Amino acid sequence: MNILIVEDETDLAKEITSYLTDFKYNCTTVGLLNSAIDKLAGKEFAVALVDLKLPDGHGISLIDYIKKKKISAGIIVISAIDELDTKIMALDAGADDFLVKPFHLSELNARIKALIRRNMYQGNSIVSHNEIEVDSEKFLAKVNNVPLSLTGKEYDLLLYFISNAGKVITKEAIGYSVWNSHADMDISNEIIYTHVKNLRKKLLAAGAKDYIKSIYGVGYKFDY
Amino acid sequence: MKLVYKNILINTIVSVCILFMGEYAIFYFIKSKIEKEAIEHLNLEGRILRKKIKKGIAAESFNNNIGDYIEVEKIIKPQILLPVITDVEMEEEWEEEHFTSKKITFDVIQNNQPFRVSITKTIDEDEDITGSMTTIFIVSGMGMLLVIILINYFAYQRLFNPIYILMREIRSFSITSLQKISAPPTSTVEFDIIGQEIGKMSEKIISDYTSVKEFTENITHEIQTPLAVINFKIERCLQDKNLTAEQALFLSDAAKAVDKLFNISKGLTLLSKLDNKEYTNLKEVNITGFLKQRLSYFSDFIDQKKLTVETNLNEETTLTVDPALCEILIDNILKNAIRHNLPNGRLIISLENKQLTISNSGETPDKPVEEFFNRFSRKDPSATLGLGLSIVKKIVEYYGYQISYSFHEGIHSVSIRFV
Repeated sequence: MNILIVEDETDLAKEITSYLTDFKYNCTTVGLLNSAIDKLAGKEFAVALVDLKLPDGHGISLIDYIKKKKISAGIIVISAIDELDTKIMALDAGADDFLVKPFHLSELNARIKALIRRNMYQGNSIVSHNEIEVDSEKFLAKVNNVPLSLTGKEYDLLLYFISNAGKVITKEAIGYSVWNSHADMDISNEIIYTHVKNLRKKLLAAGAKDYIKSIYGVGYKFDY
Repeated sequence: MKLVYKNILINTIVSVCILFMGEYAIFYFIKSKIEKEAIEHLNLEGRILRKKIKKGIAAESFNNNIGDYIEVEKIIKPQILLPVITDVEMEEEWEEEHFTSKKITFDVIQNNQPFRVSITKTIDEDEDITGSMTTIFIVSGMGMLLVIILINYFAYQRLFNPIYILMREIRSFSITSLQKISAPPTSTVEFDIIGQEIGKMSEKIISDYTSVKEFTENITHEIQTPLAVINFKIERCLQDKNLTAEQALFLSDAAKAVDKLFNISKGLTLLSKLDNKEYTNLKEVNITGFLKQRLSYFSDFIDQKKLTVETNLNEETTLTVDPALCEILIDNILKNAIRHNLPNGRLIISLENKQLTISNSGETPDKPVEEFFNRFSRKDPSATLGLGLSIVKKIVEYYGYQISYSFHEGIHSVSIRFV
């Protein structure tokens, strides 16, 4: 699956590429709007990651272009601008998601996956991980076809873990993704711990393998 | 007191003083003149009388009781050869008036008979003089004073007009409008200099302000990308299978520090935007419903600390605010009340009569509670940013509300009056 990264900071683009490549994505990086338009003409992309402030113009004009040309790529804006007005403007123009820099790569990965699920697999919103199945439309998780009774947060956690399977995910990333921006609370570590513990218990009780590995002081890893 | 009135007051006081001093000076001057005249007159009369007596006119025939009072009496032996002038106090029994008089006395011999002659001249015009002098002085003095006041009033109004215009300009000066103070044209050198200097100062203030603003905006924006790079690199390092537990911890701490930098820059940006009055998006926000929603949002954190929540949210209160700011305001206070709460503590939220009070149990503060509103004022610098409450205060001031912090019997309370 192809992903177009429109980002003039090469360092950032490099790291994004390196993370996403591990999830079997094919990344193309461009630093200018014009080159983005060229690339879009040559290949079909599942998702375009668009920075807003670019040397040759504003990312919004690229979103307009994609929408006007009816290009099917989903659009995630990645920007350092954390303004409601800007977000609304981007979403109105046709962006599917807006991620404020700095973000965690695991978060970006999860958002890309969610977007692809929404855009490409209409009617098939099942994410599976060996014996675990998550239906992201019905908010339902199953182990060996037996439904699990998960709380909302536990469901979010599971989906986040599966999306970033095989990667070490920091507690901060989990806090940001599942508990939104209020993960800066000093008690969030304990909350994450409690929820992960409960999720793990439920998965094990349902007969799933013990995928969740705790990495001391850092976070968790969801094994394959 | 306005300068023009101050000036009029000083002028009036000085003029009145000079007026009275002048009146006294002139009064005594004229009085002494009158006395001198009287003495000269007496001397002249005395010489004439002496001549007339010497020529043989009967001395006693000069006795006179009307006008200048002349007394001629026989004496045995002449004693006063040269005329002597003395002051005489006279009481007129029928007028009950007190007269000051001058008296000249000399002896003269006629046909071997010595006579003592005395001529008394009354100077009783004292009070008349005082009266008329006072009238003249008060009338002319007051006239002068009035003229001075009028000149002061109108001329000063005119003269100081450029200063008043300048004052209005300074008062209406707003740093965010980026409009420098333009001095009114004036022919008065001093005012011209003041106006020009103030104009220059305002220009400097604006340029300093603009550069500080640009600096803050740039630094907060430009800092994001390098920090994001650091974060990404850390995340990538953490994926390394050969990482020791210790190294992983170091990396995780570094990532936390980077996160903190982000949040600081975010908080400072918010504060500077509040300073610049950049929040103009106003909407009706039902604060009661909003509080309930945020409470359920924070329920995980509340449960984790096993807090008892007591609410009094029966009154529907609506505010016209920027929803984003409202969220930051409520969230920051709630977060604070949860974060600094004691395990199994109380969280009390009450909204009554347009007053919101969020209270929590907590430790006794180690400094005056007002200081909690200062930036980077917190107990444990490693745990929190120390911007939360200063942002709260800024938002409260932004909308002209009132905020107070109190600590009473183990309960910290933040109260906001939405008025």
